Amino acid sequence: MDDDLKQNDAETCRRVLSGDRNAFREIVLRYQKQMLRTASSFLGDAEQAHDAVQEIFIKVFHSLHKFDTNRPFAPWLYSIAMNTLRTSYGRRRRIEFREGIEYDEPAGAAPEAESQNPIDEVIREEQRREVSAAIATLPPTLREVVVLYYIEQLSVSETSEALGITTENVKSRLFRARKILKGKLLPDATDGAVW
Amino acid sequence: MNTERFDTIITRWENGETPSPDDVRALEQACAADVRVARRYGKILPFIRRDAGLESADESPLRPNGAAEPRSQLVEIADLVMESIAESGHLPRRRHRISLPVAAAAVIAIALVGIGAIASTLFFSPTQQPIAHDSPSDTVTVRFSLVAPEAQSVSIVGDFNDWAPGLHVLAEPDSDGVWWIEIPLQRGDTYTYNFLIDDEVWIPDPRAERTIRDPFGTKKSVLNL
Repeated sequence: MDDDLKQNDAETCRRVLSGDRNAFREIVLRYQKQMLRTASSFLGDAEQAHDAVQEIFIKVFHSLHKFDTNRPFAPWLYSIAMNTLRTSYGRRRRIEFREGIEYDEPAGAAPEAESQNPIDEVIREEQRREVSAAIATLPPTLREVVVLYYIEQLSVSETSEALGITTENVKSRLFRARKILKGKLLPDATDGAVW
Repeated sequence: MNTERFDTIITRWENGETPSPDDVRALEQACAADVRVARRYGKILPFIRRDAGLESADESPLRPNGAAEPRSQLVEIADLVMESIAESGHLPRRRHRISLPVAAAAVIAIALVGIGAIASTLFFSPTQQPIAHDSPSDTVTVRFSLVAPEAQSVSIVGDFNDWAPGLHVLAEPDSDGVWWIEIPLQRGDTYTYNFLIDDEVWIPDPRAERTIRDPFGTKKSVLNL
C-alpha cells in the first residue's frame, strides 16, 4: 500500500478527530470509487450499492475514534464496508423473501454496451456481465473474499484484516471460490480445442 | 488452435498453484490474437493475472461498475454523506471524552415527530439491577424499549454498534406500540446511545439514567453497566 496515501489518510483522520468535520469529505472523495465498486460487486445492484456506500461512510465517520491512526486506513475501511454490505445484503434477502422477488440474473448486470469498437467492446461487455453474474452467485462468505482480493486487489493479509478472519481462512475461501468460478466461467472443452 | 496448454494452466491455477507471469502473457497474447480464444479464456484471465501478481487494468472484466461511475454520482455521494453527518450532529469522539456536562432532559425531538415516545431499558435500568438474562459471564443482556405506535421502524444506535443505523432494529411493536430489542453488552462499561425512528429522527432514551450533550449540542443517552 502506498506510503504517502497511508500518511495522508492518517493525517486526514486526525483532522476529523480533532473537530474538522469537513476533512471527512476528503476521505469520502478518496475512497468512494473503490467503495462503490466493492458494493456493486458484492450486492449486484447499483442503486442499493449507492445507498450502501453512503451508509458505509456515515458508519466510518461515527467509528473514527476507534481507528488507530498508526495503522493503515484501507483495511479498516473495508472491514466496516463488508460488515455494512453483509447487513445490506441480508436486508435485501429478507425483503425478497417476504415479497417473493426472484431475479433471473443479478440486478446490477449492465445493459448491452453501445460499442464503438465492435468485437473487442462487445466481448468485454459480455464478459463483464458474465463475471459479475458469476461473482454474484457465490455464497456471501466466498463473494466477499473474491471482491476484496480479486476486484479491490487487497493482499491476502489485508483481506484477512478487513474480514476479521485468518489468512488461512482467506486462502481456503479463495480456493473454493476459484473452483466455482472456473466452473461458471470456463466452458467445458473435452478435446482441448476452442472450435 | 490447440488450447491444451491453457487448460493446463487454468487447472493448475484452480488447484492453488500460482501461475507464472510468462504463462499469463502467453494466454493474453493468444486472447489478443484470436477472438475465439478471447471468448473462451477472457473471463477467467483477470483472476489468473491477479494470482500471478499482475495488476488489473480498469477495463478488466473484474472492474465492471466503479470505473464507469459518472463523476456526478460520485460527487453526490460525498454531498449526501456530509449532509447526513451534519444532520446527525455527531463527531467521532475518543472514549475518554464521555464525561461531558449532563444536559437538561427536554425531549424536543419526540415532540417534533409527535410520537409521544417513552422508552426504557427493562432488564437493566438506572434504578434497577439486571433482572433477567444476567449470566455469570461479563456480558449483560439489556432490553431496550420504546413506545412509538406511529413509527414505521425503530433502531438503536450507540457505541456498541458504532452508531450504525440498521444494525440493531427493534422488534415490531405490540398492541401498545412498544418496540423492543435485547442486546448483550459488556458489564462494567459505559455506553452512549440513541433511538433512530424511521431512519430519520434521532432521539435520546427519555428514561435513561442520564443524558449528555456532545460538543455539537446533540443529546445522547448514557447507560452504565
